[in-house]
Amino acid sequence: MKYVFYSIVCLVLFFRPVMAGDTADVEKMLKEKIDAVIVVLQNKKLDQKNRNERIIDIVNSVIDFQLMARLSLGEKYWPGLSEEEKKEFTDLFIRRLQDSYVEKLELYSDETVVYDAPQTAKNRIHMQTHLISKGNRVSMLYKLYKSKTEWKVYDIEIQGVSMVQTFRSQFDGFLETGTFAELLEKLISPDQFSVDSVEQSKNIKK
Amino acid sequence: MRAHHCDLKKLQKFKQIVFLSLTFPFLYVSIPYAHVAYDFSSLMVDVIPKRITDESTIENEYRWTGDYVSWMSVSSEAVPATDETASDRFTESQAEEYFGFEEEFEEEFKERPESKVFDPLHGYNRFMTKVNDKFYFWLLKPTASGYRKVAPQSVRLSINRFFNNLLFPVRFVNNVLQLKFKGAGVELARFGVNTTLGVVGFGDPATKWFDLNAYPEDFGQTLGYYGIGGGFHLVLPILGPSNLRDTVGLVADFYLDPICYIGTCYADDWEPAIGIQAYKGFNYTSLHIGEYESLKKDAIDLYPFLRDAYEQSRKREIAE
Repeated sequence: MKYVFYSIVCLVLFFRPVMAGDTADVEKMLKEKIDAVIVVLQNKKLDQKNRNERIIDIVNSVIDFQLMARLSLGEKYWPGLSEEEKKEFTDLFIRRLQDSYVEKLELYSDETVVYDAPQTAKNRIHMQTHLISKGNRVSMLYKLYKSKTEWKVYDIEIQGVSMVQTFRSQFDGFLETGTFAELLEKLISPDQFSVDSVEQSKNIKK
Repeated sequence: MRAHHCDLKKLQKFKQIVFLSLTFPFLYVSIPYAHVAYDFSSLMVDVIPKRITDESTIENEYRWTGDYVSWMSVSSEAVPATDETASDRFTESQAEEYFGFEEEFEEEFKERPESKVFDPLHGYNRFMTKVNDKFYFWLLKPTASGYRKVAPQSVRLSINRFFNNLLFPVRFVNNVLQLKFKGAGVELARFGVNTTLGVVGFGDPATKWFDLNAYPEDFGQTLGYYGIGGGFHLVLPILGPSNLRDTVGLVADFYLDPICYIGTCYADDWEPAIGIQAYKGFNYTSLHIGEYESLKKDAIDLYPFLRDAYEQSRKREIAE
């Protein structure tokens, strides 16, 4: 009888995290990934290209860039595109998103990253992180949804500014007058202001 | 009798060992599969109701789950046919489910009419954004970069902290006005610690040693807290994106800032105060070179991008 009881206790202990531990899983997963990213970021031996590639490798399994691209265009424009257009847009835009994400991390996380406990919001999980650099504290909020198998990030808010939302309203504004081809053009040509200022600031800071 | 007792004990022990050795492997084996079972069951829940709504599916369903005879009476060709339709429907319903799932996101990100930025001055704003952009790249950035080379970062950080500490009345008053007494208390403690231990604010022991983080609040946020909307968007010269409410807030905060009294701006002597404010901004910029550039890269069209980003982040700050 005693052992039946113990095995029930064991069952409860082992199975509880599967059901109620989603937030704990998410917290652990995100922490692992972001910590790994920070380690790569602080490795000054790597050149920028290598570093970015490694970081993207790390976060690719947690951040659903595909979905972010689709959401940024939204239901107004996405369904009307041909398969090639969808692919071209996704490829271009994902690169842009990734660059932007890595650069923000690089800019703001000189020292450490502090994590808040994740919050559930309906069927989503939100996890707030704070990037700490000298005399500066920037909040980065990861919003996750449950895909078929796992939790994935579908939007990131930096200081309360949602990436998806911002790109969406920009695309909206642009496509009101411009064509989709022109938008792709815009996404291809990187901005005339390169990263040199960021690099420079890094060198001087260190 | 004794021997018998001993045997019984042994038997019990044996039973326990058998029980444990049977249950524990089962537990360990079943843990990884629990996920699978869970996922599978949730998948089925999605699929089944949709099948039933489809008329022909009801028929199939009936054929499968209904009485044995009617299932048997179906000809042998019909069985693969039903299999085919079932698989078709499966992908269909998956797509449907997928669409429903996107809908949810649409709901989240769709632009709400009240969040549309009221922008009657967009012509002027666009122009001023360009002016500010040029001001930054042509004047502010080169000079701030030069300053950065001359003054060590630690010095510039200390100066920045000193000015931040001076802004205590702004944060304190606005925390109180918004009835955020915890924030006000922390601010008061921070001011006390940083002004004494931190040597008039050049250091920040409050954060470092006491883990007291600032609660920044300004008058624009206070107005927002009491339900006052942003009004039209307004790009200020040099200071950048703002709106009607926050511009009013800036003026109010300017008067709460002790720098104003160093410069005796209450006696209409503005220059010293504005000079100090300019230096403060300059010093701040030297610590944040690269951020505007990085932000700018996300923009497809700079002005609406900065405007929306500003309004979004203000909305969040007020909601906090």
